[in-house]
Parts: sequence; C-alpha cells; structure tokens
Amino acid sequence: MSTLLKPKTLAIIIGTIALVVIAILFFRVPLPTILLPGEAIPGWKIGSFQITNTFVATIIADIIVLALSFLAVRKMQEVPESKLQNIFEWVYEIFEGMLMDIGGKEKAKAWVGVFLTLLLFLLFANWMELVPGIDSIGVIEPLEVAYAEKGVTVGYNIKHIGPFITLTSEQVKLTDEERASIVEEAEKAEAAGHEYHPENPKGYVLTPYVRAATTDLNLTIGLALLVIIWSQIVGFRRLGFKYIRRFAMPHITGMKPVDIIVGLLEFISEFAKIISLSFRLFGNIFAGQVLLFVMAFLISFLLPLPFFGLELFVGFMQAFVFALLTFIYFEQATHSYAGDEHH
Amino acid sequence: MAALGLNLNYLISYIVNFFLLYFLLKKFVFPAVSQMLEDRKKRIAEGLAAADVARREAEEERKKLMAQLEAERAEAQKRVAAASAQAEKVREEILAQARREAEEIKTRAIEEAEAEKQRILAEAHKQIAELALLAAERVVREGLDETVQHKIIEDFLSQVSLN
Repeated sequence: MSTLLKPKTLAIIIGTIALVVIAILFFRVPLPTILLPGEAIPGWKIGSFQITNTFVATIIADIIVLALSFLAVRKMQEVPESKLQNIFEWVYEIFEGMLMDIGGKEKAKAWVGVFLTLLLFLLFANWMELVPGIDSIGVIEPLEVAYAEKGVTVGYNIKHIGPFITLTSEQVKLTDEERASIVEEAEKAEAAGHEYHPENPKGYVLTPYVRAATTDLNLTIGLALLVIIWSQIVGFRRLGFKYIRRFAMPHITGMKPVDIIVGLLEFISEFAKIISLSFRLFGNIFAGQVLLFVMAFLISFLLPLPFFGLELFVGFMQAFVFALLTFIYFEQATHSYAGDEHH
Repeated sequence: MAALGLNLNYLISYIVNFFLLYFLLKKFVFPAVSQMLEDRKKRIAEGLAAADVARREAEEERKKLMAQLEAERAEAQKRVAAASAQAEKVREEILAQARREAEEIKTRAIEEAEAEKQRILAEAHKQIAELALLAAERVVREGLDETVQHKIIEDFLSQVSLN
C-alpha cells in the first residue's frame, strides 16, 4: 500500500481520474455514422464514377506504398546509406526467406512480389484507421439527404467554431413520419430533375474523406477473387490438365466414389477460400474501426489508447495473414493430385 | 448485396488498382532489390574468397621468406666460421713464420757471435804471440837478470791484460 501513497503515484491516479471526468463532462464526441458500404463523398464525382472514402484511402495507400518503395530503390547502393533502403531490403529478405522455408526457393522467388505487394498495400490500408482525425474530417450534409441516399437515421446538431463547422454530441433521430416524407420529397425532387435539398434540416451527418480501405467489402472480395483466380491460373500453368484432376476424380483414397466427393469438396473449397479471405480481413478491420469509434464515444481520453495498440497489431496481422495465405494457396495449387507420383 | 455495399464497378476498380500497384512494384522495385541483394551476396562471397586467397598467399610468402632468411643465416654462419678458421690458419702461419725467423735470427746471431769470438780469440792469440815475441825480444835485447826479467814479463802481461 505504501507505493500507492507516493506523491508521484497519487498524482498519476488523480490526473487520470480528472482526465476521464473532464472527457465525460466536456468532451463528448459524436459516434460516427457506421455504415457497411464505403461511403460516397457528397460532391466527389468523376464522370459517373462516385468516389467513396474507401476509394480515396485505397489511392492514398497506393501512393504511400509506391512512394516508400520507389524512394527505397531510387539510389540503391551496395553499401546502403539510406535507412529506407536498409529497411526495404530487410523486409524483402526476411519475407523471401520465410517463403523459401514454406515453398522452396523457386516458388518463393516467383511469388515474393505478390506476397509483398499484398502485405505492404494491406498494411497501410489497414493502418489508416489509426490516423487521428481520419473519421472526423469530412463533408457535412443534412440528415435528410443522408437518409434518402444511405438510410442513415441518426444525425447530430452542428455548431460553428470560427471558419469550421463541427457536429455536437447531441443526437437527432428521424421519426417514422419524417422518414416517409423524406422518401416522398426525394422522389419528387428526382422526378423534377434536381437534387434533393431539405428546407430546414433536422440534423447533420458527417462523411469522412478517408476511411480505411479494407473496411470496404468491394476491396477485400475483389482481392480475394483476384488471388483465387490467379491461383487457378498458377496451378493450370504448372500442372496443365493434371490441375483439373483435383476437382474431377483425383487419386487420393483410391476409392472412386470417395474421390469424386473429395474432388467436389476441393471445388467448393476454392469458393470457401474467397469468402474466408475476404471476410476475415474485412471483419477484423471493420470491427477494429467500430471498436475505436465506440471507445472514443464512451470516454474520449485515455480509453481508446490500448485499443490503438491492439489495432496496430491486428492491422499488421491481417495483412500478413492475407498475403501468407495467398502464397500458400498458390503453393498448394502446384501440388498434383493426378496420382502418377504415388502409383 | 446492396446492404453489404457490393458494387461491381468498385470491385473491378479495386482489382485493377491492385494490378497496377503490383505491376509497378514488380517492374521497378522488386527486381532492383533482389538484384541488389544478389549482387551484395556475390560481392561479399567474392571478397571473403579473395581475402582467403590473400591470406594463404601471404602465409606462403612468409614461409618462403623465413626459409630464405634461415638459409641466408646458415650461409652467413658458415662463412663466418670459414673465415675465422682461415684467420686462425693465417695466424698460425704468421706465428710459425715469425718463430722461424726469430729462430733464424737467433741462430745467425749466435753464429756471428761465435765467429766474432773466434775471430777475436784468434786476434788475441796473434797479439799475445806478437807481444810475447816483443817481450821476448826485449828480454833478449836487455839481457837482464832474473828479477828484471820477471818485472819485464809482468809489465808485459799487465800491458797485455790492459789491451
């Protein structure tokens, strides 16, 4: 008990409690609108292509990865002076070595590029959820418009601070009658050929400019589809028609009826891989983001901190798992089940 | 599907995006890194091998030099030994020569002294004889008595011994 009473310890405890109390009393933050799809940023359109905030994050992640890697190899030296080059070489060597342990030298060399591209891209895409302010800087639009377009029913009041507009923590909810009338008015506006603008918005909704790219199912499913189709191509190119044998009458048990079912299961498992790859990544990162939102919403100081650490780890882990599983699927696709090796 | 936000346009754009990223990295970044790592590995291996060869060569060179040095030292020693043996011999010879010469000189001196002595003796004999004759002549010429004779002889002899 004596350690508790040391002035320093006491000060820390009191400071912590004071921060938490201040946060609860004065620094309430609104809970960001949680939507499953990537949110369209109002007014950001290229032709007919509506830009979503997850798309912006994808481009940012691309730029970060490209900038870092091109800077790293820009002036390569045999005796490296740039730390970036050192780090890049280190990453390359470590993961190439790891892939060699799994799939042998030739396969590691062939696919280390896919592995590293996935790893680096997903790493920065995942970690973007950790950037402070990422979920709170964006476009504010009336709740009514948000309801008509995305089905958002909860908005917030706004206040002006200097040149900036910010949401307050006072929630506003749409009643059923209001929802019905909004739908009506929006349809009317569309029929008249102009955009829907409510006269007196009841509340406002913020759409952030950037939202971690991997919280968009389009990205994760797209990547999963890509790598699974790619793995079919890899298998077919390496084994030829023998690759098809794994789905139709593979020689595994030697009993024909069983082998037919095994082949069927192989076929189904390719689809299961798409689902598991994409939803694992999406679920982890989306849940992580919601977790960070909710923690900041509960107590805006201190409480979110440990979860930032957790998400840092999860972000890396998910990127790594996705990239590694991709390599393993590629590697598995090169194993022949035609049977002529065993019989 | 719509509730999940699935949209074929976005999906395809993400796939294309990833392909572009992969293409750029695969084309410009990974080969450079891989090449650099290979080159460095090769350079290090070469450097180590070269260092090994150099060390072995140096060792051989050192051994060769040591052997040469050893041989030279032995040679020098042999030469010194030979020289000192030679010197000893010369010394002996010189000594022997000197001794011989000294001996010769001594012998000659003795011989000469002997000859001188003989000569002097002969001379003395001659003079004694002459003196004796002279004395005898005087004695005869004077015809003196015995005492005078003795005196004369004694004078004569004292004269002789004075000579």
